[in-house]
Amino acid sequence: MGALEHRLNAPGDRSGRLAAIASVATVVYVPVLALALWQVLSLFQPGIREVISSPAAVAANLASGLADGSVAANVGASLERALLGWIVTLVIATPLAIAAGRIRLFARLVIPVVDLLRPISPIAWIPLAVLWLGIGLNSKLLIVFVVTFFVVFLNVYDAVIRIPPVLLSVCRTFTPSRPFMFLHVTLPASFQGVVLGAQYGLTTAWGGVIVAEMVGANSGVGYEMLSAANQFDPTSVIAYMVLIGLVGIVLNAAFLLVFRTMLPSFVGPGTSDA
Amino acid sequence: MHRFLAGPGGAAIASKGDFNLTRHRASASVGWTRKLASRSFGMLQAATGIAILLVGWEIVTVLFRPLPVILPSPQDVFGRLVYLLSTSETWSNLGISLARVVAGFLLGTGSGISVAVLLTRHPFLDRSLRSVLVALRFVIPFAWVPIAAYWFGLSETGKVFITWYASFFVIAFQVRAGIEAVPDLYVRVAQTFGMSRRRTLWQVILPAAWPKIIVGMRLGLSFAWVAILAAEMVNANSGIGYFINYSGQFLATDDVMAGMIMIGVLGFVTDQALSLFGRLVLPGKDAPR
Amino acid sequence: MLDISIDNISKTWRAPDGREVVALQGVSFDVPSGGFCCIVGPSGSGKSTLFDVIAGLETPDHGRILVGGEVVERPGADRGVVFQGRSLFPWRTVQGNVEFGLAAQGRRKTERRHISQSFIDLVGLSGFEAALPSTLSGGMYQRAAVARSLATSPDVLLMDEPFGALDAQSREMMQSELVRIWQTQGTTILFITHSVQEAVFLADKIIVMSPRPGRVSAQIDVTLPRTRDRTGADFGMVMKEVYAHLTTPASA
Repeated sequence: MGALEHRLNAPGDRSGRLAAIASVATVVYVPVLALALWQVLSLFQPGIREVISSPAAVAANLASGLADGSVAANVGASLERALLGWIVTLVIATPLAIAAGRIRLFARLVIPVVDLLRPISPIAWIPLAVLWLGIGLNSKLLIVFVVTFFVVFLNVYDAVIRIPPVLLSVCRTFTPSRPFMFLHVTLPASFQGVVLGAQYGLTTAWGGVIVAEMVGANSGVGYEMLSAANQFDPTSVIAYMVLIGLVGIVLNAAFLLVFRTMLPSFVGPGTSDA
Repeated sequence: MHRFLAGPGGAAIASKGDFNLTRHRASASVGWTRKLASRSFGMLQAATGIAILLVGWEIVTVLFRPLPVILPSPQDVFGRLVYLLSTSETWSNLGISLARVVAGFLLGTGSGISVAVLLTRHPFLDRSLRSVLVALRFVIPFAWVPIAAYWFGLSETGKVFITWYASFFVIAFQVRAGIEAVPDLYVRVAQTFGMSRRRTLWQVILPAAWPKIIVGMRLGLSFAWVAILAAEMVNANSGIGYFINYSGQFLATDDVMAGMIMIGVLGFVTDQALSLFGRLVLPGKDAPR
Repeated sequence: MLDISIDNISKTWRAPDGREVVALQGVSFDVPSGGFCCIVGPSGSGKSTLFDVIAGLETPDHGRILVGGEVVERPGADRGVVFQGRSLFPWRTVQGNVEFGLAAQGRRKTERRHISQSFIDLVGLSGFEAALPSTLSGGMYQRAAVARSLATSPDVLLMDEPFGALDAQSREMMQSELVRIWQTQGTTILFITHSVQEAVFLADKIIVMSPRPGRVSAQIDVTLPRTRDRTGADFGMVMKEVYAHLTTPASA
């Protein structure tokens, strides 16, 4: 602890309140300073204002967007696509990853393919998505899938291969039934990893939908941001970046909230937000 | 934390035949798959997986006869790939993209490790920067493309900024987790030898955290590769990412897929190189795979 | 309860780099029904491999295992197993763990509850039914593991250094507890250990194994009356006999 905090924790009635204020201040002062610096720069350096706008302008932009409902509509449209893509990915990637974790041969065949496809950006998939699935929802879902798949797959796979082998042996001494082992050992033992994969998958899907909205969209946070970029409107671009970050934080927090309250005995030290 | 695995290594699954682990295998006896568990055979099986993918692709092309623009056959794509690799333009594109990825990755490693060390050393800084780091993690590199374009104009900095951004966060968080996982015991042992904090960091903490650091670096490198397409949307006119982007706009599907293969292979090769580097620097248990 | 017959078991491992390790060579001995047999030996003497073969988790290259006169080749309900280390399912309570084998046998919930409760009481864990394994002390943890293996009423109980991670006092207490449980249940027990004192305290019959290649170097019957005094002179003499066979190479 620094000297400042020692002094603040000196005995007396005020120490509790001061300590609370100090801890809030600690978390907040860097963003506040950064915003202040940004604002000052934009006021005194007109060239900068054209490129990165100012906090005041961005805030005003967001406020008006909130007021006229456009923010809500766009966030809603993007969220819908992201959540759908997330669920589709979970349904496909989780069983594949569990199979790869438990069946060595399958892993040896599938993992190299996964590794080869992983470095490829979702942007590269856009023309293929359009050609194969048109410009509707499905092509956007494909883009979201392409980003989210690897995150979910690798986390679940990792969880399955980390199942302590002794637990599988214990099961074998009681029954040779593979379905029983799957249901009563493999699934519960890897559950934490599955949840972690779903958590990272959710925020990844949110990022992926931004890219997906390059495909024939006319609504959504990504679409609006890209339109603003094409119109050289940095204020709106930054406003939408802020929105993207905020919604990402909220999604992550919501997921943790749901899972921590619903399944406390399953959530371990792995499901932090950082 | 990011417990998922970095990089290729199907061979690693096959060959790490740890004696004790064999006690608890699901099959009762040594199966034929285990007998193939030497490194070269592992690579053969890796190739088999890809071969099956190629065969499946060929079958789809032959059965359904899609238009080449919708799904070119493997021959089309590989033919195109061979042609592209015969042009010097392609090689210069590959080189430029590789340079952008490596530059961003190295900067990401340097800054990521430094920031991680700072955060673990100074809890005050950790709390101060936490809000910023967590918030920025959700703003994907792609979202920075417009701003980077305005800010950095035509310079290389704009592209390297994106690849740096893509790798920095995951490296910083992984390295921090790795440092925090170093047992206090090791640090106390160093103290009994009267080691300074700096020497303790370099000779005890970082080596102990090395496996996690390498995992973070491999993840960071893979994210940098994914980001190269976004990076080369920032006022670029060169690079494989740029090539794929404009080929996509012209619906030159065979070029797009050839480009994807090139990136896939480059990603694989650089990851293997990094993994080898990790094992050379500190031989011993690799990151589990 | 059934007897065990180990009949000329051999097994060789091939390490990934091509080296061959002869884990077991011509291992043969018998354990009478209801008997308590300890296998003692240093690291590398093949104890764990033998354990896995008897449990049915590994197949030998030569030889066979007979339980009650029948050849066994894979794991089965007739042989309960207590593994080394943390083998309880961390997501299940103590009762959930003890019921596991019963669930695998397809028994109904009320039956499972009833049977598991009786074994939880038997091992002295009454009141801890709802506890999670992470909250248990070392001794309690192993008691739960023993209860889980006994719940399916196996004829034979195989135990691989179950008390190895316990501190000395907990270990001695658990040894006494195990003898008590054995005397109540009458199960045939095969117990692997590297502690000579533990073997002499627990066993009617001690099999001494030696390494490279893994083989039986001595079979010692222990006729000391129960409950045994670890500090007694006759106890010490048996230990001496075991040590003698541990340090000298076996004759061909």
